[in-house]
Amino acid sequence: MNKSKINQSILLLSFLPMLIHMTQHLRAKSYFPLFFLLVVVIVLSSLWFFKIVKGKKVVTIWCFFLVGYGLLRIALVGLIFLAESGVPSDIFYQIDNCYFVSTTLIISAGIWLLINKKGW
Amino acid sequence: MISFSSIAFQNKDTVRSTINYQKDVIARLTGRKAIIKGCFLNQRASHEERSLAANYLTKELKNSGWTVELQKYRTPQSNYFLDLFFRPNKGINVIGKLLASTPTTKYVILGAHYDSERNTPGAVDNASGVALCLAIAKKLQKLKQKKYNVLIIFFDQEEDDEVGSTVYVKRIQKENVEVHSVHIFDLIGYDSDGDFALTLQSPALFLEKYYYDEATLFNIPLKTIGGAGSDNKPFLKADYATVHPFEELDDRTPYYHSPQDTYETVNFAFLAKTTEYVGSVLGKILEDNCK
Repeated sequence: MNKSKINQSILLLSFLPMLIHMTQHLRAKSYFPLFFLLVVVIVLSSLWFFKIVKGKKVVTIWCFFLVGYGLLRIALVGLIFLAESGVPSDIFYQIDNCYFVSTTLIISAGIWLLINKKGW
Repeated sequence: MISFSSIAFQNKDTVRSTINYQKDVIARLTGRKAIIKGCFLNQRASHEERSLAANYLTKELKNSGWTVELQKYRTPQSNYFLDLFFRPNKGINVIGKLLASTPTTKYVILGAHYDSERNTPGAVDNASGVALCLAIAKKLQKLKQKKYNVLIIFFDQEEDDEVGSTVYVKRIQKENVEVHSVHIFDLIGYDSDGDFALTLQSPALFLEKYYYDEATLFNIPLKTIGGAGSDNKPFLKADYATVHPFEELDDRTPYYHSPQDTYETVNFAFLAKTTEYVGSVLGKILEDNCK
């Protein structure tokens, strides 16, 4: 598999954590994550479609979005442990291995795509 | 016809058996005794711990002859920002149902939350309210004449902004369930001065009368206050006739939301007498015009 194929696969896989998250919310009839992801995808697609920015730039924006999202997830953990007593238990117990693994994967995918953007 | 008061809590043996039963319930919910073989609960905060407690409560209600339904729910977090990072809330309301003697569409609802804050055994908050409801479930099962259907609901996630009761209220509003009254029990196991006094929070006028009338018979000092501080909040918001009896305002547990809220701090005599009193109030409500 050449580098370009790997990059494309990682780009596709980078949507997976958010798609899973969105599906979990849809089961609870909570539509905001779906709405948010749609807005991001529509904005990025429009930028590319109307040739406001080049395809590579769109991927770069998506990478920054992934890294920013991952960092916010880490920052939230910090905030939760700083103000532990006020945090709902449901949220507190969601900070588990699964949370850290998916955060690491999201940030890693973003960084990988950023580093290898020349290989597209 | 058997009257409620004659079967309820009139003799010392009955009071003793109520105390023993409530001791067992609170011991299991607070980790003094195993909730299932080899498993002790030190708190009821995580989903796994709450599921174990819900299974135990289901078993207890079924043993008392009630039909039980589990309302498993998933609901969004309290704000959109949190929804982007965390999964939806996941919980279980345990709903026990006892039908009226003659078919009716009206329900009397008794409720208590069974979850606890993190790092606390939650004996007074709120294993005490659960123990009160379970003891009353046994008594009501024996009651021959009941004017209304009765629901006992053990709510999940009260400590997370009343998630469980909010979900339940939305459901009964959607299903147009006819509700006679809602009685919420929370923080009902502490009485350091031994006066058995209680506080009624935001009672509907007709419920306040029932509670005050029986309090005179039981020699229980009562005080009424406003506001909403527990699972009564979503019910009040939806305009249901609600009452929330709890400990005397000036004599509340000093171990609230702390690791010291243990089995040892529960005043079982107070809890049993309150159970007797609440049972009598419910007996009056359920037997009114039944004779």
